[in-house]
Formats: sequence, structure tokens, C-alpha cells
Amino acid sequence: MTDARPTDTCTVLDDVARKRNVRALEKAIKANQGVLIGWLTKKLNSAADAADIAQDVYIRVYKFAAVEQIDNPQALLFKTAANLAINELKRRGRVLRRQVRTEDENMADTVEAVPCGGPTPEEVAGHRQDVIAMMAAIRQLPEKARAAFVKNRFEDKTYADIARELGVSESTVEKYMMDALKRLRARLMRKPQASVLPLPRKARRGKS
Amino acid sequence: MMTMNERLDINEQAIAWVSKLLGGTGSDADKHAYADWKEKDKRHAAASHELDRLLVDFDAAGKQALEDEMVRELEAAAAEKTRRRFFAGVSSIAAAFIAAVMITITMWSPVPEAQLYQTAIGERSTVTLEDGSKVQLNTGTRISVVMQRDERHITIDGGEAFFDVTRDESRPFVVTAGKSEVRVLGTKFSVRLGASSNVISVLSGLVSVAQHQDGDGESREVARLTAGQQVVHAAAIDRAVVDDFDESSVFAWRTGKAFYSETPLAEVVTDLNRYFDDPLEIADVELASLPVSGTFNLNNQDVVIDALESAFSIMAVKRVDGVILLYARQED
Repeated sequence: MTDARPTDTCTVLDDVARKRNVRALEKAIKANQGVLIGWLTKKLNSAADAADIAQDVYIRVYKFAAVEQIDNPQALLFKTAANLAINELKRRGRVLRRQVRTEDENMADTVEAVPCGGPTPEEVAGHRQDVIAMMAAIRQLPEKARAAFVKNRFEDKTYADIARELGVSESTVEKYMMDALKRLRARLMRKPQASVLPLPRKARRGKS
Repeated sequence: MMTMNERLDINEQAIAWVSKLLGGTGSDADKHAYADWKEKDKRHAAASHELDRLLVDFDAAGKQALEDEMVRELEAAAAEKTRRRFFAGVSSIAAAFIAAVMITITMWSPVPEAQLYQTAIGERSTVTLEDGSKVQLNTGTRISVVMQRDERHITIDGGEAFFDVTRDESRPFVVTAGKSEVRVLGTKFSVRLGASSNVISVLSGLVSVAQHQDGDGESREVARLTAGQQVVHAAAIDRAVVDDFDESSVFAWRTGKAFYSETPLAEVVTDLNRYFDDPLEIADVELASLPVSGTFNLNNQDVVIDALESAFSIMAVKRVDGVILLYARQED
């Protein structure tokens, strides 16, 4: 058990519950297979990759169903698919070895190993608020700073890539980035509660 | 006591360092210099750490926001499908029975691979799909086919195709072309994916056409077409226009012909250029609006050019790079 989580939320599934879990999941998979494949094919622009990722999704949710009560199998399915699709897109787009270590790896896979470590509903809600606040902060950046930040952080592009896209020099991109970081920092570091946001999931993982 | 200015200074220095190093091309010397700067003062290390946290949080938030958006897309797609199912009126008892039998068998069976078909410039070809449906590909066309248990899905990556779909109520036939999505049970229709517009023309049966919206990734039905109707979706105005169409003209390509009726030469040239490696080009601007009527044989470009030259005051000259220039012939 993790020290961060009281044991009462951590139920061990008995056989009956597990079977019920798996049945509900099978039903959800059956009902959504077409939607999933269609969506993955569109997102990844490859039917073969879509099929691979879909298999991966099924395997992961099955593993999950063996240890954790699933209240909404469709939601789990979609969340897992979105998560794996992002990882795949990131993997493809990764051109840049991070120069500054950002512990990004901790965010890898949501559903891989999360027995009884999930966030409470309040944590989820708070976390949502944080995400919304951060996205709002990005939206409010000046256009060029925003472009540089989004392309670098979310699209894994180097300054050279961004410079080419924006038609400016690399040192100008660096200036945009500096501007973005200053503004984001000023916005989010002032208010301690809005700034810290260790995302609940990852704070708890891996230290049992 | 640290003054505010000093603190700002340190934070700005940290930001400057990080900005330098995030670009992906920072040198080792830069990295070492940054490490030295951090070690020099506890406050430096703290500012740097704080900034790292900020980046981690933003990376995570960005991923979370993207994930939320994707989940919304999936939920919308699932809701849309449920709605369609409901209207399709599949026998749910039979479906449930089959589902129960199939589920264990199919759960781990591989999802079907996409089949790719394509034609070269000037080529035409017909393929028969496993369900008996026939797809005729026009010149320079590329499609991929994924036959799933509950849906037959064709994506047109470019060009034009005519579909003669075998009816199967439990397995909708869906064609995606750019932002257009066509959904049928069993009909005959053609889809053309053009650079500036998509055209969907129905020869028989009923066709539902949906359009993907910009931004939210959802699609909404824009038209239901019956035989003899066509929808043109022009990207420039982002609107779908439904109209009747002339069968002999739109489907002429299926027999290797092009048919025009009072069509400006500029449009005719664009259309004809789909079929030949050596493009036609209008050299005299006044020719662009010349109305052209008639049938052209698409199997031979020389015959096309002869026809143009003999029916109109046009002279064709081939340039060294292969481009065929069309001049207005000087009448004397």
C-alpha cells in the first residue's frame, strides 16, 4: 500500500467482482470498437498503428479490470485510448532530447500500474481547475510567445524548427520563450495554491 | 535580507538559462555553465528548481488538456454512433446473440489491416471488395479500405472514385474524403476529392453526407442526397451546396470520356490535366473563359488536343519541359 493513500479506498476485488468487471468491460469494448478504431485511424493517420494501439488499449484496460473496480468502462476505454494516442504521437514527433530534465517520463502511462492509487474526486476536480488555469494562462500569452511555447513544449519542436516555421531567427525564438516563461511564472507562482499542483496521479505512483 | 530586485534578477537569470537550453541545440558548455550557476548559490538552485517544476506542470497540463479533448471527441463519436444505430433499426436481439458468441472469439483477434488501392495518372481500375461492393478508381486516385465487423470504411486520400455498394444494413459503408464523410447502406455514388472542393454525386439510392467541423473534430450531417443529386463542398466558402447534376457529364470518366457543356476552357484544362502526365496550360488569358462543349476521349492526349484544335481557334505548342501551351490562333 502506498503511504499516501488510506487503505480503506483500496479494495481488493473478489472473483465475482472481477468477473463482473471484465464482463462490463467486454461489453464496452464491443460497443465502442468501431468508434475507437475509426478515431485512432484518423488521429494517427494509419490503420495499422490504430490497430496496434487499440490492442494495447484492450490489454491495459483488462489489466486494470483485474485489480480495480471500474464504474464507467467506456470512460476508462476512451481515456486510455487518448493517453496512448498522445504517447504514440509524441513518440513520432520526438525530435528533441530534452536539454533540461523535466521528469516528463513520470507522466507516461496513466493506466499501467495504478492499483489503489487513484486520486479522490476532490483531487481530480482540483487538478482540472489547475489544468484549466494553466491553459488559460497560455492562451493569454502574446501571440509569438504563445506560439514558441506551445510548439516547444507540446509539439516537441526545437528552436530551429520553430524559427523556420515563424520565419525568424533562433535567438528570436529564444526571446519569445523567455517572454513566455516570465509571464507564465508571474501568473502562476504568485498564488501558491495555483502554482504547485503536483498532479495527484504521479505524486503517488511508484512508491509503495 | 534579499531585496525584491535581487530575487527578480535571479528568477530572470534562471529563465534566461532555461530558455537557452530548451531549444534543443544548447552546447555542452552551456549546460555546464548552467550547472555551475545553480551550484553557486542556494537561491539560484531554488529558482531553477521552481522553474523546472513549472515546466513539468505545464507539460502535464498540456497533455491532460489534449487528453480531455480527445476523450470528448471519442464520446461525441460514440454518441453519434448510438444515434445512428437506433435509426438503422438493427434487430437488437439478434445482434446481442451474435455479440455474445463473437465476443470471446474476436476480442483478441487482430483488427483488419487497411487495404490500399491506387491508380496512376491516366489509369482507371475497378476493385471488388470482400463484401461484393465495387469501387471504380479514376485517374490518380488512392484509397484505403478497412472492413470491420460493424462498419465498412473507405478513405479517399486523393482523386475520384465511384462506389457500387452491396447492401448490408448492419454494416454501414462509410467513405471519408478530406472533411467530407459519406454514409450509406447500399447505393451507387461517386466521391471526388479536389484541391478546392469535394463533390459527392448520387446515381441511385440514398446517401447521407456529413462534414467535419473545424476545431472540434465533430461531424454533422449537411445533406441527404437522392438519385440525381450532388453536393459540392467548396473549402473556400466552407459551405455545402446541393444541386441536381448531369449524369452524362459527372460519370463520363467511368467509360474513359470527359463531357463538358458550356464549360470555361480554364475549368476544362484543370479537369483534363488530372488524366495526363503532360499538363495543358492556357498561354493566352483571353482563352480562359472560352466556353467548351463536347465529349473528349481520355485514353489519348493527342486526340484530346486535336479535338481542341479543330473545334476551337486554339493552337497547342509543346514546350521542352512537356507543358502543352494553348494559344489563341490568329485568324487571317
